[in-house]
Order: sequence, then structure tokens, then C-alpha cells
Amino acid sequence: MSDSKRLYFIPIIDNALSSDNPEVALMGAFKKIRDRGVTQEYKEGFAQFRLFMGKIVEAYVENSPDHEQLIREDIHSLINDLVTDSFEGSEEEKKALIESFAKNDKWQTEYARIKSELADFIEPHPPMGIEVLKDGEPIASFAITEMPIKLMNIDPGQYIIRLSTGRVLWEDQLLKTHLIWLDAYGDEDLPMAAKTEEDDIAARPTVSDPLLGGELTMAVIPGLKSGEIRFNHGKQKR
Amino acid sequence: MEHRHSDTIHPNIHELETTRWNALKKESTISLIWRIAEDSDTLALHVFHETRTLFYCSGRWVRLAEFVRAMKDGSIRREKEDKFTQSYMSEVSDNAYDLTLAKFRNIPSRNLKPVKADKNASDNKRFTWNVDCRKYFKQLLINIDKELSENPITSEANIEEEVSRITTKFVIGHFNKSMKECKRRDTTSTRYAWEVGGRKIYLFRPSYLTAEQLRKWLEDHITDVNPDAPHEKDRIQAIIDNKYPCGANIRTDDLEVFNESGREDESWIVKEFSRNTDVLTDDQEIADELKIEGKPPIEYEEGNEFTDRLSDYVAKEKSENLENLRPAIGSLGKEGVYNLVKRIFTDMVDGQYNLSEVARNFNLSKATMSRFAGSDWRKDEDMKQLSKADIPDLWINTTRVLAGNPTLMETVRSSGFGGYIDDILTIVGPKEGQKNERQ
Repeated sequence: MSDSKRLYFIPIIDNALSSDNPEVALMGAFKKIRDRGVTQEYKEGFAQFRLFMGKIVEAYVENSPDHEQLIREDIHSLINDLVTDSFEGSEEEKKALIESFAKNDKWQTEYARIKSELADFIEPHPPMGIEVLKDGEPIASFAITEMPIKLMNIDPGQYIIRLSTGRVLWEDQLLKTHLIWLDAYGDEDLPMAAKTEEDDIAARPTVSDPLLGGELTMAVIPGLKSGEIRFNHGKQKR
Repeated sequence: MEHRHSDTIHPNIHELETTRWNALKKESTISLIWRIAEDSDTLALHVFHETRTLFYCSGRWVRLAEFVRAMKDGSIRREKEDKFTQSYMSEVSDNAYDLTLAKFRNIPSRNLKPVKADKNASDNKRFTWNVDCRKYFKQLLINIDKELSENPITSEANIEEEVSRITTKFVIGHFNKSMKECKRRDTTSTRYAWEVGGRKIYLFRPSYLTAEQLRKWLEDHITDVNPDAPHEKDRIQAIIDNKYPCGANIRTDDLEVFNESGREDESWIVKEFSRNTDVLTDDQEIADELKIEGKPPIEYEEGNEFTDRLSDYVAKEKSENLENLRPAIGSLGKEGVYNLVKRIFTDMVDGQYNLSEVARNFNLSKATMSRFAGSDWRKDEDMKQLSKADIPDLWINTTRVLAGNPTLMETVRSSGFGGYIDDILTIVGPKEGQKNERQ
């Protein structure tokens, strides 16, 4: 390996520092050094780069006690990124960093402490759900995976059906003419309560709309004293 | 209806906006993000903030502002064992909260001058004014596109679920970055009260200037002060920022957000991240004082090659301290050492560095040259035997020079020590007892 290749990182840092925007150029330079460092050609040079950077940080810390605190805070930020899954590097880089913390007893303890403190922000999202609001107040919520679902005792009011993430899927007034059989269909006979999904047609919905482009459906079924809203999977995009 | 309208808006426009607001509420989250990023759609931005609960925290779905507030409160709570640290963290976290919200809320004015996006924003939050949320939403869109392409999903419900997860990750990442940036700002600038005619104007001074230095400079250079004039404080601060930029200008944002080309009338990147963080002054008196105060060892001037400056600096330092050099190198004399260092750096830049050839040209043994500026730092060619103690003299000297360069160090710190974290973890351990050295 040539002398220049073993010290390849120095001209890259030089070039970055002499650019018009050294802050941005240096970030690119460190990436370039790392990218080359994984190749066989620059492997030795990269090992020396690590040592070189360690020595720079060592000198920086020696310059002032404040600097040590600054570096410590940077490491805390890095741990924050790793435990909150907001680290932007590759999976390999992430894995390598976590291994590095695991290898260092003191930092391993610190890593575990920060992870437990950030538990509120890293809990996995529950399955996507549907929320139903009447006159602005939530009256029901359920996971899409729980469907089909029937909501009973539906009275007239302004209804909103939305995803748990806030996207409104359906919004309208439900009136007596939608919810009460007599108001909807007059003297016609009220069918027996539907026992299966196929009976929905027999139940004669007053409102029937596809949600999320037909992925789900909602139907309003009138009853004697109040109505029902039925949610089902649609025919498309199951 | 939560959306507020100005009383001056024509009723028809009001009605049209309400209709559009209702339509936007039903649009997919990706579509809203796209409208904000590509169309600068402010109504879509309002709908995003007021109706989307994409973030899951403490058992419930919350909006972006609530989520960022919870992160802010959490970061203060984590430092509760130390009152001083808590007070410091509280200020940093407040600033990080404002900055993160600005990253997802601000659409700067089309004016060239920096302006407050929110007219109620405090003057102390001027660092948030020119943040442009469209750049962040554009980057979020790219992240979403990348992740969805890698794992194709056809169900709209599942897409919404994925977008919520990706957005959460993105916002947490930017809160962490904001915390980092605000801590950095706090370490590179200090509040300063300038007394003019019995009145105080509160300014920020770069930490490399003493209060006395700044006062003197202000008195000499800003003579037309009118404390009653609107925006006088901003005017003076802009002059200071222009004259004495500080490390606070270094952003922790990812390259993609930096490189995202903005509209022609938005020059915030150029303005806020000016080329140098070092002191560049034509005021000799201040410059002389700064040397005493620990001026960064390398200066970069417009058009100068850094390598020349670095090699000049290192060559000068080496040639003026012959007594500290190994005898064989010192015997080259002042000019000889200067030329040797210059030659090595020049060859390095050209990719032509050949240790044996340089040794021959300067009548040095290869062993002497290796100890001075060797390229192979291994012991007995064993990669595992690499040790800082074996780094040759010239490169050790170069690390010290670079450690004193604020631009490089700020970037090293914000780059996350990629590839060499192991070494850093052994240099700096976690603090015991959580004392605050900054007080």
C-alpha cells in the first residue's frame, strides 16, 4: 500500500477545509473517508484515520474541561438517536455503534439508563385504529384488525369517522331519517336483526359508503329506536 | 371549526377556504406533506398541525406540537437530580422545542431580509425565524418514498401507519438535532447587555470576545444607535453576526436538508452558515486582543488554500521549535525543516507522497523519516497493534493544530464520530454525579 493511501484522509479533510462552505464539505468528507475505508484498498488507512481522529479529540479535550463536557453531550445525543430509532446512518453503522457501547462498561450502563428514560417515545405504535366521534366527542374506537364491527344505539348528530392518526374518512349529519326505521322506510316491515354479513343487504342501510378508496366500508342501518353503524372490510385492497 | 380566518378576508374566500379545509382533512398524510413541500400550501400546513395525530406517546395519539412538548419535558426531567443542570437544560430544551416546531411550521417570508414567521415570537428566538419547514417536509417525503419503495404496501391504512412511524422517527431525530444545536449555540454565544444612554440593549456576543472587547467595538463602530427605533436590536445584532460569526452558525442538519435547493429569493443557508466561523477582522486592535484571548490557530482567508495555510502553520511551528525535534530532523535547520514539512504536505495533496523519496531528497534515513512523518503507523505490520503512541511526530502535531480549529471540531462533534466512536468512548466517560461544569 502506498504512503498516500495510508494517509488518504488528510488531503480529503484539507480539501473540505479549503472549500467555500467548510462545515458542509467536512460532513461530506467524513462520509467519503468512511466509504473508502470499507474497501480493502483503504482499510489500513481507515484504521489510521480512527487513531488520528481519536488523537484530535484527545487534544481537544485536553485544551479545556468544557470540551470534555461537550463531547459527553454529543455521545448522549448519539445514544438518544440510537434508542429512539432516529439514527440516520445505515443499519451496519447503527449495529457497529450499539456494539461499541455494549463493549464499554460505563457507557453500556449509561445507554441502558437513557433507553429506560425514553421509553415513552419508543413504545411501538398500536395497530392503526378507527375512531368515531359524535358532535366532536369520541364515542368508539377500535383497531382495523377487529373489524367487522357494529356500533349500536346510534342517535342523530354530527358524526366523524377518522383514523387514529387524524385523517378524516367520513363526516356527515346522521338524522332520524337515517337511523329510525319508521322515518326512513315508513310502514314497511322491519327485517329481523341481521345475523351474518350477508344479511346487511336485507338490513337495508340508509347510508353505505366506501372508506379509504373501498378498502373499508361503513353502513348506517336504521332500527326501531336508534340505528347502527357497521364497519366492514371492503372488496378491494384486502 | 378550529380554523381561524382574518376578518378582512372576503366572505367568498372564507367559504372557499372552509371547503378546501374540509377536503384537506380527508387527504392522505403523504398528500398533505407533498402539498406543503412542493406547493408551499399553508392551509395544508395548518391541517397537518391541527388535525393529524401521527405520534404515539404515553398511550395516546398526539399532534406534533404535543409530541415535541413531551420530548422537551422529558429532557428536562432527565436532569432533575441537579438543580443547576435542570435550569440550564430547561433553557436549552425550550429553545430546542421552538427550533423543532419552526422546522415543521415556518414558511419564511419571500422578503430577502430575515423575518419572524410568527409575529408573536420573542426576539430571543431569532434563530428560528428563517427556518423553512418546506425543506424539512421535502426531506421527510424523500424518507417516506425510500422506505415505502423498499417495502411496498398497497393498503392505504397500512401506508398511513407507516407514514406515522417514519414521521415520528424523523421528528424525534430533528428534536435531538435541535437539542444539540441549542446546546452548541449556548456554548458559542453569551447574552450581553449593552448600555447606551442609560438604556440597555440585549445582544448576543460570540464567546471568543470578552464583554469588554465587544463593548469597545460597539462604541467605536456603532455610533448611530437609537434605542427607541423599532428593530434596533436586530439591526445591531445583524452587524455583530456579520462581523463576528460564531460556531453557533453550524447546523446539525443532515446533508440532504442543507443541499436542498431553495427558491431564489431564499438565501437563508448562505446567510446563516457563512463560510467562516473563525474571526476575520480588519480591526487590528481587536485582532491583536483576540490573539491573547486564544484566537483559533488557523485562519482561512478568501481564496487561500487551506493546505497552504495548514502546512505553513505546521511548518512554521516545527521550524521555530528545533529543540523539540529529533536531532536528525533538527539538524536540517530552520529553513530545512520548513521546506521538509511543506514538501510532505504538497505531496500529500497531490497523492504523490513517497516517504523514501522525500527522505532521499533531504538526506535523511528512512527510519528517521518514518518516525517523523511515517505513513505506516502499525507496530510490526500488525493492524491490531495500532496505538496513538506510535503516531509520528508530524501527524501528532497536525492533530493538535486541527483540534484548535473550531470549524473542524464543531463538524467532528456533529458528525457522530462515525467509525471511531470506540476511541472516543475511552477518552470521555459518562459523567458521574451529573454536575454541571458550565455554571
